[in-house]
Amino acid sequence: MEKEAKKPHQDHQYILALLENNSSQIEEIYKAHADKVKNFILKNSGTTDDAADVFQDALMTISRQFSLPGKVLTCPFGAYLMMVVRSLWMNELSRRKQKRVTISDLKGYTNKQDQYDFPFSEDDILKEELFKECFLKLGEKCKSILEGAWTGIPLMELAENLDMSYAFLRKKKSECISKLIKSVQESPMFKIIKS
Amino acid sequence: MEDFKEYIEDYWDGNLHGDKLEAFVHEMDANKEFRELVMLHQQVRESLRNDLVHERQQGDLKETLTGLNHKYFNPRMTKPGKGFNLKAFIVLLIITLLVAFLVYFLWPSGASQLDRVFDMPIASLTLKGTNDEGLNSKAETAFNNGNYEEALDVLQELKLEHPMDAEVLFFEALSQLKTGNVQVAVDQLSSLSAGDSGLKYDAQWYLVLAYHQLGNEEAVNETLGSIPEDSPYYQKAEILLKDR
Repeated sequence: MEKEAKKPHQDHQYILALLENNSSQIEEIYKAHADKVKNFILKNSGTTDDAADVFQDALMTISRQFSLPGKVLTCPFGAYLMMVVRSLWMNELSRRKQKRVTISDLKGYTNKQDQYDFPFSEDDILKEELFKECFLKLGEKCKSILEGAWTGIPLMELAENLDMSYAFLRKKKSECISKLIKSVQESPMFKIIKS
Repeated sequence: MEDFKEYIEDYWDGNLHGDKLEAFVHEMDANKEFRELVMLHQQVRESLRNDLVHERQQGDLKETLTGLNHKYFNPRMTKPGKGFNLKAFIVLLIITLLVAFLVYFLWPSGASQLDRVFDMPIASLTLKGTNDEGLNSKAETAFNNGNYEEALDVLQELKLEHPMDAEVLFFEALSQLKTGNVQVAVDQLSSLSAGDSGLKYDAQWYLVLAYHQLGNEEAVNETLGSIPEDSPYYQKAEILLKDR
């Protein structure tokens, strides 16, 4: 669950670098952490390509999380980055192996979750990933409707853009959301996170 | 709880007022399962909304990260490596094609034959009194071009105006089948085949395919066996039954 904002850690500068797309400071993140992430992924059934993908996804995830108002980093950036990397990689391994991979299955990682006050937990990250996966499984029409509605396009305008009546769009939107929620609830990962 | 589910989106959009809002909040207070569902709804919405909005703004960051990824991880060689053997690749390709050819034409089971027997019919809707005549042709075009998801949307819109029309229901059921909603298709085709419309035999025929896609081979045999002699599909059904 989200925690209350506290005094920012000095490494919050890296969060700002991501939010402002400051390439020289972002490169410092690569210099400091790329090798560590690569070693971790290689030790845990991944390749260099996987490491590159996970590293990029982790930084995108962090940037997205801290774009929410009032969010500050209250722990060292490296510790938080590794927690995000680990969560994303566990999720990817679970998907590939079709079975739940847990922290005890991973090598070369020291769990610092108890030591630091992470702004988002592993469950938060796994949930976000699950919601995204379920959303991507929807049909193209559903994705367009929900994307339009959720990014602020007025429904009247959206109905016109999608060439359907307003009443039908409302009905379809409701169906699409039900489909999405059902898909989340039926996912084995959701049951694990919930428990 | 079923009734209140419909209002969750309105609740979070702030479009629920008066008695409906009061009843909704009361249900949330009284029903833990429903309260959890409402909260999950909001979590999913907020998470994806943040994702979608942010994704549009993250283009520049993604570009920066991609550049740095190349520098620090050197990922993905696009050319084949030294180990790539063109001769072995061609041999493998020929073997694959040969196996695919043999499986397709010589496989003895009734199941694969069954899949090949079913072509989708040509949609031609004869609806009268439709407010939007364009919807008819839009549904036909989408269906006949194999755009079943689009066809399904238009047919469902037509169904709002013609809830009992057999043609609309039939082609909707087939679109459901083609978009993976097999159980829905089974239910709709069963209901049509049990009725008196001019499409009852067609519905019964495609019900066979729906059961097959559902993996219920017992129901496939049962449905094939129940196709009557006056059905235009009787002979085809007999042939299929013999091979099973």
